[in-house]
Amino acid sequence: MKIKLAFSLLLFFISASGLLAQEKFEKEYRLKTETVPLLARQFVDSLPFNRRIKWYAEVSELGKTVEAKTKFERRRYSVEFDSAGKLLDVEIGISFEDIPEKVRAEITRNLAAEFEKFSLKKIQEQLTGTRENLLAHLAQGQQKAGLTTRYELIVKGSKDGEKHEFEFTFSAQGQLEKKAKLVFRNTDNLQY
Amino acid sequence: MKVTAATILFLLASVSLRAQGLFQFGLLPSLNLNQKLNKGWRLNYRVESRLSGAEGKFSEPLVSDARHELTDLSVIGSRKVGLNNTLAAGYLLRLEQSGVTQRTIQQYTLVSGYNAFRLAQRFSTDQTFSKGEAAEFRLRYRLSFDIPLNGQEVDDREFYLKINNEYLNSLQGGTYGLEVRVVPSLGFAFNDNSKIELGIDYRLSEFLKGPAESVFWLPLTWFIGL
Repeated sequence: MKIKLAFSLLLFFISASGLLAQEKFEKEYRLKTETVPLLARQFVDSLPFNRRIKWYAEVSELGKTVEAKTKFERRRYSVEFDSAGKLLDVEIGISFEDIPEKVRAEITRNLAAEFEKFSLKKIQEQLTGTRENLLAHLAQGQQKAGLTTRYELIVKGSKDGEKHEFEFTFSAQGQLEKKAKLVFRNTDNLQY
Repeated sequence: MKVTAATILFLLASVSLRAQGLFQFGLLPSLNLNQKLNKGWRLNYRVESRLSGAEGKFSEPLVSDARHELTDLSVIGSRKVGLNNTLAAGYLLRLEQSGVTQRTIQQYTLVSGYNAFRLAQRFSTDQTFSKGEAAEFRLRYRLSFDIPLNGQEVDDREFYLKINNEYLNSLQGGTYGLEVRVVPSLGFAFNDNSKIELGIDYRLSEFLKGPAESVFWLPLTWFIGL
C-alpha cells in the first residue's frame, strides 16, 4: 500500500513537471561556427576582433536569433543577427563615464525619479543601423554616422521598501524608452 | 567545458589523495519541495534518506553492509531580505533505529548571478539534540555554483554542473571538529521549477586529531518548486 502511494506521488510529480515544461518556450544554446549563417560570420570576420568568438542561438515564440559574443580591447561585444544572418544590433559593454555628460545627467534624473535608491549593475551601448555604417564605425573607427545609439542599463533599485532589478533602455539623449523588471531563475537548488 | 572537466578531475584527485583511514559510502536520495508564499516568504520541505552500502578501513577488503541508516524530515521557512539574499530558519527531525534526533537550523544565503554561472554563499548554524548525547552546535559555510553545460544559462530540458564546497565546524561536549564536504553534481532541469541532481558527496572529517574519516554518498536530489 505504502509503495503504491509513493509510486502515485512520484507519477504526480513527474507529470506536473512535464506540464510545467510545456508552458514556456525559450532556449539558448551554443552554436558551432560552421552552423552560423554565412552573412553573420562574414560580418563578424570583418571586425577587428582578436579573441575567440562564441556563437549562441536563442529560440523563443518570437523566432530565432543568432548572437556572436567576444571581448575586444577590454569591452564585451555582442553582435545579434536574425536566423538568416541579417544584422540586428551590436551591444558594447561600457562604463557609465563613457556616456556623454549631458546624457548621463538625463539618465540619472530619470532613474532618481523612479527609485529612492539605485545602483547600476551593467551598461551597454546598443548600436543599430545598416551593415555598412556599423562596419565603418566598428572596423574603421569612423563616427556613428547613420547609426542609432541607445543605452541599456541593468539597474538595482529600491522603492517603498522593495528591491528589484530592471532593464532600462534610454535614447541617445537619455530619454526613457523601455523599462522591464527582471525575473531571476529559481535558486532553490543553490540554497538548500 | 575544458575548465569544468579539469575542475572535476582536480576535485576527484584531491579526494583520492586524502582517502585514507576509515570510510563509508552509500546512497542519499532526497526530495526537496519549495513552496512560494506571499511577500517574499517561502517554505522548504525536505525528505532525505541515507542508505549505507559499506563501511570499514581503506586498508581492508570491502565488506558490504547495505542498510537504511536514517531519514531526515525538515521544514525551513525563509524570507527574502534583499534582492539576492535570504534569511531562513527551520527544524529537522532525524529518524534512526537508535532513536530520534532534533535539530534547529538558521541560515543566510546570498546568490550572485554572473555571465555564465551563478554563485551562492550559505552561512548557517544548527543545534542538534538527541537523547543520551551532548548537544552539538555547528557553524557552517557553503560555497555553491552552477554552470550550464550548453549556452549561458540553464534552460528547460538542459544539463548543468553544480559544485558545492562546505566547511562545518562543530562543538560537542567541549570537543571541536571540522568536516569538509565537496559535492560535484550533474543536474538536469526539466524546467525552472523541477531539477534533478546526481553527484558524489565526499565528506572528510576527523582529520585534525587522528586517521581521517572519509564518507562518500551518491546524492540523488529532486528539487521541485510548488
